[in-house]
Amino acid sequence: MRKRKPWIYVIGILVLAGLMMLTACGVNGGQKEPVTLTVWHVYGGQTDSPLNDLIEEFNETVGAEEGIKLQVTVVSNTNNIHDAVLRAANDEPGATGLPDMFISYPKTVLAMPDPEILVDYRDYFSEEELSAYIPAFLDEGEIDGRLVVFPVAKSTEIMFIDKTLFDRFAADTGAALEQLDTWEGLFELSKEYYQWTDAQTPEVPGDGKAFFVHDYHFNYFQVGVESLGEDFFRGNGITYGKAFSKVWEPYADAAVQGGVWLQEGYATEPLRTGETIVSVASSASVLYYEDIVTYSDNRSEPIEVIARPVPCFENGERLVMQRGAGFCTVKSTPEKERAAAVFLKWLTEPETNVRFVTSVGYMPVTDAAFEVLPDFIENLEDPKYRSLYEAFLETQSSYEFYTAPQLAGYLELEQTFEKNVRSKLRTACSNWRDGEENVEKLGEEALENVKMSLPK
Amino acid sequence: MANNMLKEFGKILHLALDRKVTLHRKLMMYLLCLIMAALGILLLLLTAIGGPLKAESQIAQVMENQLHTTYNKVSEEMETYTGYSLQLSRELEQDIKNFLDEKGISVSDLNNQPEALLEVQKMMYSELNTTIRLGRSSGVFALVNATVNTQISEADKSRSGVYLRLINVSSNVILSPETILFRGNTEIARENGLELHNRWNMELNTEGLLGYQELETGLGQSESGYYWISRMNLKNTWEDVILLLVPMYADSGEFLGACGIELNDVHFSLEYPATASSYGSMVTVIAPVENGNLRLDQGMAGNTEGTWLDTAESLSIIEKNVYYSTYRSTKCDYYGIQMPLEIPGSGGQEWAVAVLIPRENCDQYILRNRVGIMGVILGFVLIMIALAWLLSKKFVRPILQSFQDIRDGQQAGDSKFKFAELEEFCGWLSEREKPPEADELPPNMAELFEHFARNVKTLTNAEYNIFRYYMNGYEVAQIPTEACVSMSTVKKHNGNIYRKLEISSNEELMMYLDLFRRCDCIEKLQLDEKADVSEVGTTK
Amino acid sequence: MCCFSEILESWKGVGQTVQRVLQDILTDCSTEDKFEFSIVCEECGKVWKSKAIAFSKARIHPVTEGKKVVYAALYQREKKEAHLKALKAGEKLFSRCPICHRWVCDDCFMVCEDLDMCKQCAERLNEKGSIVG
Repeated sequence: MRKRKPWIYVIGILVLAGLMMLTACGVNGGQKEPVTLTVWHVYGGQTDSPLNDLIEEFNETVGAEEGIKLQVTVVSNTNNIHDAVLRAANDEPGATGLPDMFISYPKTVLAMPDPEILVDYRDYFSEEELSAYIPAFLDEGEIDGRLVVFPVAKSTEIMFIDKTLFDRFAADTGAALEQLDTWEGLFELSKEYYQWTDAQTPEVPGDGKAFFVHDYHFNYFQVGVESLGEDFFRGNGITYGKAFSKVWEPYADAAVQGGVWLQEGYATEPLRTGETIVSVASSASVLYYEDIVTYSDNRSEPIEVIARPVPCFENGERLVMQRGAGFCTVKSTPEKERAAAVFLKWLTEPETNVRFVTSVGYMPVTDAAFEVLPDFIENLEDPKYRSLYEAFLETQSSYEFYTAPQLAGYLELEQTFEKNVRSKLRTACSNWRDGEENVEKLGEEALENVKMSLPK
Repeated sequence: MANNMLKEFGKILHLALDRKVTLHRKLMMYLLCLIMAALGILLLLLTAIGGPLKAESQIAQVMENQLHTTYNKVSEEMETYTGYSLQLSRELEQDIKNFLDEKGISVSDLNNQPEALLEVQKMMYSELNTTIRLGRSSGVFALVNATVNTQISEADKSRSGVYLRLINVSSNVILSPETILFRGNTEIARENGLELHNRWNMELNTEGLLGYQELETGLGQSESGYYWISRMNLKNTWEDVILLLVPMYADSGEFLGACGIELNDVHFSLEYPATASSYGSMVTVIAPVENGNLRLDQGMAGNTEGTWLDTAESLSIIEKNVYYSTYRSTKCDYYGIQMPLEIPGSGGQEWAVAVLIPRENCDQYILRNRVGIMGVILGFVLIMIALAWLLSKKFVRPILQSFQDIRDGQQAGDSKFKFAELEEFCGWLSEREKPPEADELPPNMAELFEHFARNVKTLTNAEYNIFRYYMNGYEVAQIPTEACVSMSTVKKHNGNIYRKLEISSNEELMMYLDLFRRCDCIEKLQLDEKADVSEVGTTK
Repeated sequence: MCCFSEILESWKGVGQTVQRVLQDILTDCSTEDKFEFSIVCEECGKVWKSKAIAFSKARIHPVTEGKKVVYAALYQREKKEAHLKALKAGEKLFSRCPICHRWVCDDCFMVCEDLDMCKQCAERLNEKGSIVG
């Protein structure tokens, strides 16, 4: 009986060691910390972003329950995010790493060295869940058969008018808002407006103001040419056909004569300073229009901003640019990827989605959300937003949506065209101000210069 | 091979342990187990009360290291910012003074002078642009104490100046960061190809610049000549900033304006990532201290990844132990330590840098640690108790068995006895109860005697001669003198005697002789035919 | 048996008359400085010497007559002690033959069946045995 004794000690030591190992494992065990996702987005630019508020709401409700926390580190515009994403994706020196989620157009994804680093949302959304979304929106986000850009809001181009100043102009000249229904009418008014503003200060000649500003002149030509029934793109270049001339002429005519804003920058800027009074820009820019204008002497006055559908050509189809970036999620851990999907599902629930899109000037992305949209619009307090959504609904009912093609050279073409059109016409305009009277010749020269600067 | 060795080892162990154990040793082992168990219980209690102290000091150590690193980094960064700001203020002060001297005007004469103000702004822009590019801050600003239009309402709060900001703070490390015009003449933006901020305004509103109005009236002057303005939201934007403001003065002492740099919360959170530790995510914050509270709502927080830290509220210290303090917000508590930061705040506000860990995570860690230690000790106690139980059972069983054996008539000398004491006791008992006649000796005893006596008869006369001395009670050393033989002779005989009597030592021989003497049967060992010859008679 | 006891009786008488103790053959080889004794095996002549013990006052020459007397007495006492020690040591090394009563060393003493005796006697009496040494 005594000889079994040593084995008891051995067993005891083993049990003790086992216990110690168990507790050692326990110490390193999992702990309840939130899964944190960093986000770069564009909804709000440098302003107080409505999406940030929604993200905060998400963090406090669904996020708190599921242990997910979103952290916004950049709110900017798509161009800046485009640059930053590409810098990060290309591992450029000094660039910060990619965030977990970012907003991007498909063009950014196409320009990335390896789109495979993005999550295919099909891994986290069932077919049934995806069927709730408007198919065209999902199609846009599909690259190489993988759904990598997830739609949360879509925008169209819309016309914004500083109604206070327009009314002042109309009172003197008899101009009517309806003239803005067509491009021809708009450009006529532009010339008139320049003359009218120039006449305001007879002591200072040549200080007339531009009437109209377009966010993307490239879009004006693209949509204009397409609306006249011709193809705008030819290979990686542009078709300079009859339609192009028809689009170019009234535009160049007004531009040379000072009616069009040709400086760089976004359309919201000159409206903010009263340097133009009509703009065509993404509906999303509604956020950046303030109900106030500040003049160069720091005087400011409240204004009323209204929205209307974009003009079209007299004989052209009613066509409007539809845009809308979406969320990309960078592949990481399954927990983070799942968390991103949870957030996107929450953001595209009809109620949340409508709340979100109406605060940033976008269209919702699910059929169910479209159904609740009209009720929401009625309750919108800001007249600017109400006006926008009325214009939206009008656009939706009477316009066709145009989506830019996904061309490899699209971005480069857009940027070169944009820059050159503005600068060549700026030169022409200053020549006109200096006394050159042949407007047609100046316009033609500018076009030739533009053509020369573009790839054939 | 190993198996064989194990078997060998087992055998040795068996042999070693098969020796009879005394009751004393067993009881000793039993008590030792009890003492160990008691020690375990004591440790268990100690752990329950003071065990977490160790975990707490570990946590504090980690936090202290982090705080130390962060403090150095923050101090260095703040110093850099201060350096750039002072440099900026010196340059600008000189520029503005020269400009005013050239025109022969004072700063208040700049009011309502758009061209002059634009010129001043252009000077500002070039200095600011250099500073933002070199200083790596998220924004820089400068303002002159004049406005472009004194007629408008609130003109007294509007001051002409330039405020440049980085478009994307997260990429502020790239060589030429893109900037955006937040405040300033649009002409500046146009000339330098800058975008206007979405919430652009022409002039700076001094309402947000805490302490500016005091500077204007010449009332407030910080000792160091500059100060940090606690966190505020840049109006209508999503960004929060703290500002370093450096006032500028003319030689006459006239207040010219101010300049400074901005530290953006996104920038701060990128610079100070949360550190993952086994106790939870560690967050760095800098904030003004007010009545012992950490005014996080006025300070900056590093990345709050892994925590639910809300930067919109003030943290109050609710408890302080040797290692760290407990900070309370409305949502959750944090453990943390802080250290004063030597930067001047507006209105003499004091700043501190702190490191925070969510309390829940720490408590969980401490609990796990405590449970772990307690588990080990508990296991130990249980094992000790089990061992004590087993030992006591083993301790009692052979005693009971022996009692049973005694009852069943077992005798001393039987190898079944487990304890020396018991065997001795039995021996004593049997001896006491032994009848006076040899015939009545217990059978086994008698047999032993017989056997021995028979062996004695096989001794030769010469050997018996020596044996007799022993019988008569002589010691070995006495025999050579008595028998007139050398010691070697005695030893030679001894060897033969032991062999024949089947014993191994002199002690054993003595024991036998003693037994014979006690039993009064020493005469059994006398050789009849030699009895006559013996010179020495039998004793007793 | 009876005649054997007679012989024995006669030997007893002889033994008593010629029995010599070891002291008789302990030879004194001491000098002024040390005490040393020797025993010679009476059979083979091998000499055993006791361990020399130095006189405590060796090499100290007494200057006064009184000291001389004291030293002389001291010398005698120490010699007596050394003598006793040598005798004790010798007793353990030499055996006395019960037949011839000579003191012999272990090399000349035999262990026999009935009686141990010296080699010479054993040879003479034709007894079998083994040498102790």
